[in-house]
Amino acid sequence: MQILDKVREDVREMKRSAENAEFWMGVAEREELKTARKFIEKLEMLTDLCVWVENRVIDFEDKKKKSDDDDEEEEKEGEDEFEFLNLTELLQEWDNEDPKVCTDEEQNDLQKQILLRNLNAYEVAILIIQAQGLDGADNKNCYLKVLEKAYIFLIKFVRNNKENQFILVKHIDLFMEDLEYGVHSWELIAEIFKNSELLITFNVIPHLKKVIKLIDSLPKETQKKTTMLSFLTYFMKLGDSPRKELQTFICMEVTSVIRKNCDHLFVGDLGLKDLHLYILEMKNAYSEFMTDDRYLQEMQIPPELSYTIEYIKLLAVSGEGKNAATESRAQEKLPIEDILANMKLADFCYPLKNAIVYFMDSIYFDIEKDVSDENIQKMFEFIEEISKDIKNFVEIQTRMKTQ
Amino acid sequence: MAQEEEQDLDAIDVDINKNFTMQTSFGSFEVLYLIERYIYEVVFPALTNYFGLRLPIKANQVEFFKEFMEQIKKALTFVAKPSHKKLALELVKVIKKVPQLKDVGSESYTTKGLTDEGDEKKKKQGGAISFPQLS
Repeated sequence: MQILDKVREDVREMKRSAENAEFWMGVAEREELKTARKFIEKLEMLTDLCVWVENRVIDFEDKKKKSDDDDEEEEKEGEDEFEFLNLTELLQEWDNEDPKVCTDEEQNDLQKQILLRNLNAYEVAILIIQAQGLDGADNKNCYLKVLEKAYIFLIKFVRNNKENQFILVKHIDLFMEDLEYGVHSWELIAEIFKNSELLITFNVIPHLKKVIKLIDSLPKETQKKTTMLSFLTYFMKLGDSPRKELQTFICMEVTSVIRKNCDHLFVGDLGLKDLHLYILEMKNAYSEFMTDDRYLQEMQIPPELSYTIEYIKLLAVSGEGKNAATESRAQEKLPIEDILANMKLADFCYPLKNAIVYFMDSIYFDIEKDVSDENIQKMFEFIEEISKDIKNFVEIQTRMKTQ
Repeated sequence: MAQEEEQDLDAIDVDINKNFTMQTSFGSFEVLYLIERYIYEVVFPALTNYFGLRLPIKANQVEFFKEFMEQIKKALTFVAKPSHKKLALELVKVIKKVPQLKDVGSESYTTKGLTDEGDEKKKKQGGAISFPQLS
């Protein structure tokens, strides 16, 4: 009850601010930035409520009241300094390379999502998105930071919640207008359709076409390209049931000759040489951090390789279940000889191996057509490669258990 | 990259026991976590489908498969997460069903420790979850 009252009060206040967004959002003056900062904090609070947290502690104390007891002047000084830091942050460059906000492990808090729906909290974020005043903004960085938080809230608001997904689907065209800014508007659209029956009733093809065209236009070394591509998998399955027509559409679009910058696989001599160089780059990083304590023991997967990993996974998802059309196209794109060569080169790069084995499984093992004799021998060679990883895994686990 | 430098880097053997982290597009993860997910969430389902094809085992492949089946059985002993147990169980069921695998050691496989019933029983008894027998 206490939560309901507090949230109701905050949402009412936020709605008032959102309705006047044109007067403060993107205005780089102190007072307006303060309004933006407060608004962001409240949006973050709403976002946090949508996520399941065990033993959540909510502070209902009125900070204003509390500060009256303290020395007023000292408090004001401290507050100013604190606010100054936060406001500067609002003016700093907005990051167009943001990763996706939801992780597999994170669970939604269904009750709180319902509470926020009943309070129409989503309307606050919609009002912000509808403002679309970027062209007239004094400072587009602070504008985009508020906009980004509005999207993040909506992403968590719809996540795994059928009713909330249905509410937001009517705003899809509005969200599509923000595709160029980061990944969150596309992430929101993907979350609206994830495991939703809307995949059956809503014509999502024009939206997919537009997004794939955008993905194609982005350079491979950008995180945005990889992240946006990864969301396409959400449209190919409804629970465990593959949506054959969407699998086929997405697979054909991303492998089409007109989408030259989507298709990036390590095939043929040149492709395998590229992959080899990426693996050597990672080995180089490994040798550096193992010999020098000053380095963080972290190995970064090169962005182009990350993109290919997601691309292989996408093709694999398009072949899930039995789909002869996508299986044939994917086999054409990544022949079994090249898969074997990729697997041998992948060595310690488990995210790549993960994608390759998944691809092999859905495109060559679990298929609609019969397996050719030629492929049977290659499959056996693939199993031999896998056996090395299992052996390695068993050795590591045994050593860990005995330590 | 110069050929000599390439050869030097090629010779490096990356030791995943050092458990360094790998930064992927979706965050940083310890390599031991990545290999665990790889084995149980991707390799096991792939093997389930591969064995499900019931391909014949050639005479020169028998020894390999005997050794392979032993390794899989050992890997099963380290399954801990419920989602991984489910995938492991599906693999064991297929292994036990495929006639071609009888001669390479499938009969010694057991679903004990992978099913919910076993877990519930153990929970009631207050004991730890048992793993499949190795022999």
